[in-house]
Amino acid sequence: MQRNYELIMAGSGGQGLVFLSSLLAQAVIEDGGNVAQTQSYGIAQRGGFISAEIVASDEEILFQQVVKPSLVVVLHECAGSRYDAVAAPVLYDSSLLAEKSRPNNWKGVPFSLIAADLNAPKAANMAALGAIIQTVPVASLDAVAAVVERRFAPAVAKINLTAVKNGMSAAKQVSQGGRS
Amino acid sequence: MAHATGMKYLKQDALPHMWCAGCGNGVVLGALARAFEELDLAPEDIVAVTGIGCWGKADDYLAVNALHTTHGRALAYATGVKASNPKLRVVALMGDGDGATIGGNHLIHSARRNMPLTAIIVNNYNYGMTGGQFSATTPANAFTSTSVGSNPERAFDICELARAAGANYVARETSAAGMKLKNRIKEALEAPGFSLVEAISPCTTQFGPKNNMRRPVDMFEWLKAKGLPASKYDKMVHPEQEGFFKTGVLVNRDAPDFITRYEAMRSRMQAGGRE
Amino acid sequence: MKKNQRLIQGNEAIAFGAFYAGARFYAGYPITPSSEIAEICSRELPGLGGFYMQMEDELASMGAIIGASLAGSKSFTATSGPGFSLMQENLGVAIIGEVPIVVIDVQRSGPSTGLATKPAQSDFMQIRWGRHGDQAIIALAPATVRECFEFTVLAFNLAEKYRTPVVLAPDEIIGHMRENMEIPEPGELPVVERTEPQGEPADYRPFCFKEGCVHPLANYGSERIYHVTSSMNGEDGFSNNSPENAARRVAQLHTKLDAGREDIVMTESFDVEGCETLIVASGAPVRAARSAAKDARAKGLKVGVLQLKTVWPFPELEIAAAAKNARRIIVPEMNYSGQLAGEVRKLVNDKNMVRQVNSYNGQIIFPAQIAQAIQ
Repeated sequence: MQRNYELIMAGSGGQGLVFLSSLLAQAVIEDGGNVAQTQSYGIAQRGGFISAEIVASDEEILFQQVVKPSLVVVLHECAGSRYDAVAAPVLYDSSLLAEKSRPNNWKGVPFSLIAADLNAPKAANMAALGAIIQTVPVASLDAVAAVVERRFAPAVAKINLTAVKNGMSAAKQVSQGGRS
Repeated sequence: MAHATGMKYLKQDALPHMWCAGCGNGVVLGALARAFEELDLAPEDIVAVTGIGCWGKADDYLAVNALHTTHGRALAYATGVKASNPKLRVVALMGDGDGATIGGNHLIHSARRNMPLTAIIVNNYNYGMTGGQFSATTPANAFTSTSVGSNPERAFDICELARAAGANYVARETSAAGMKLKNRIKEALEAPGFSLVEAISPCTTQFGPKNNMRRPVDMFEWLKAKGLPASKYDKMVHPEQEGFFKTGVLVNRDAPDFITRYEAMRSRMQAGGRE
Repeated sequence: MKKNQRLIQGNEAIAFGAFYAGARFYAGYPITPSSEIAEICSRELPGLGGFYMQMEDELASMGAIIGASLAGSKSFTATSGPGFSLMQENLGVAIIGEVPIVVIDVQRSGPSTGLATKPAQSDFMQIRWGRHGDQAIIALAPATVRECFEFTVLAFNLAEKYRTPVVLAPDEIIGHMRENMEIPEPGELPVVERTEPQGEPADYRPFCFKEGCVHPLANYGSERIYHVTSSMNGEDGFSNNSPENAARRVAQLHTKLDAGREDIVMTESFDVEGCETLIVASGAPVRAARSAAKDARAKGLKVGVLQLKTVWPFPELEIAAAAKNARRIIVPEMNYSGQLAGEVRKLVNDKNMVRQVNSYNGQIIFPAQIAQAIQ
């Protein structure tokens, strides 16, 4: 597999976005790839727009930032119109962002709802992680599972992995035209 | 035991010293060297850290390890020396401008941290080396080269400041009482945690002449008259307003010092306690 | 998966690099975007037998690491532009006292408080000329997380070898980015230790002002008693006001780095052989430059990149050699004034051949901006 993916994850500080990106980055490494993860944030400890980027490749990564995104994930309304002109697929949290007409490449996946259904509201970012690897093969589920199991206590890892898998199914459904 | 001269701690070929006739720095230096000798400290185990100012030149005359630093920062350097090698005996020699004015922040934080160092602040009520400008310890209404119409600011009480900030040992003497000064310095060197000795000292070239004390002896007489032990000072009404100051040991307690507390934290971490 | 590949942040790699080099004393004052280094030190140094000290300000931080180094610990601090400004006066003490220390300046956007969380490369001149008095310094700038680790080890090595402060100056991007890297095993990278002075302890002098000389440094508490002073001093470490002594003292501070130039000045060339356009860059812009150069070469243009791993002393000879056939030199950097470009311009006769690509809005430089300058 010749990987070359550039991902953007955007949302509000405190949503676990940087954490999500670092788990994904670790999964890329687990699969034997190179990865560069960066973030842009403001001075607030909580809240405020924040974005994280991942460049994953099987070659040496020269430029560390996203130039041409393969995928964008939007977890919060505060991202505003920043990604309206993006050509790549945009996954957004349909249970958190307002219902309105969005460009065709925008696909709503109810990350927060998936997490709430598992009684783990903080796992919305894990559902997003699942949706990401379902949409672009940047890392395998096995690699994500290995990283999640390393990172969390067994009980939490189990819930988080379920959130990842449910995020994958939901994204699959949406891409097949199903309504979220 | 023979009377301590302190000579082996002095760089004798550098003498006579540069200080003005009647300046108290020589007395404080002598007291320090004698205190070293009476405690039988090895010169290689002593580090004298100095700042900038007349008293900051003291390291020029000391035959121990020395680090002459920047204006006001001696305690910061001393802190690093001590933490890096806690076996060393570290003294910070500073004037009132150095130690309590530009370096006031390091003074209160060294006391708060209870860093096991000894600060010896020679307070001559002004910046002597740069021409006698007022410092944070210049008394209100005193005349200096930058308060020619009298000082509109109030003075810090260095000892009170160190006490409030958490120093374990605080004492004040005057350079008119060399023996007492030596004893206080000895006690300070032996005290655990942060210790401070304030030596009130005459500036016979700048502060004295500008404040009706034309001759060095006038200043010494003034020091003797104004410095009072607690037994006398505490009985007075408004002694500070009369220009009196308390001498002797003002604070003596044994709260755990920084190194002790750090080592306790280290043990807790190594035992798997909360990181 | 390659063995031991881990996702590591630049600042984390710096802290681990410092521990690898044997650093056991850290004193600092928290400041974005360097604070992760302080946090890791507070967590790791107690277990390594070292000290983490959070000082009351940056002046104290610099003073403390100088004192700690003289007492025998490899010592460092981490800060960003505003804190580095506060360290400058005391950094001068380390220079005249020839005290090995390492200062990490994770560069952020200014002036003043500026954009606290955004990257910049506007401290290069502050690093070189920020202190009063004439003196020289070593500065390195990493462009990858791996380099954060390696350059930190190098910084400690150079500090000990040349008895000098070394500044490691990553920009915020490099300090905060995460990449996969393998932490080197002990012994894999060379680590320079302080050499014990020889001879009779009573005869020890802390300095030698012979041209190019680096004199062995004793530790406080050893049998060698010595003085270090911020004032002009003789080889015995005591104040000395003679003009002859001052001239030798100041010259030696410069010549010791001149003598070690080959050791100190590090660059890396990417396709510079016969290049017509040379891109000279340091830190994060190296990556944009290499990306832009790769695209340009694919179009048949002869574009090379020279990475300045060492920023100070400035790699004049290396740039001149790489630019031999170049008709144009492009210098991308995250500042307005072209701090590196100005130095490059000094090396060429035709000042117009140096083209600047500057970013000074807290945003990174993209390959497209460099590509435009190549056209």
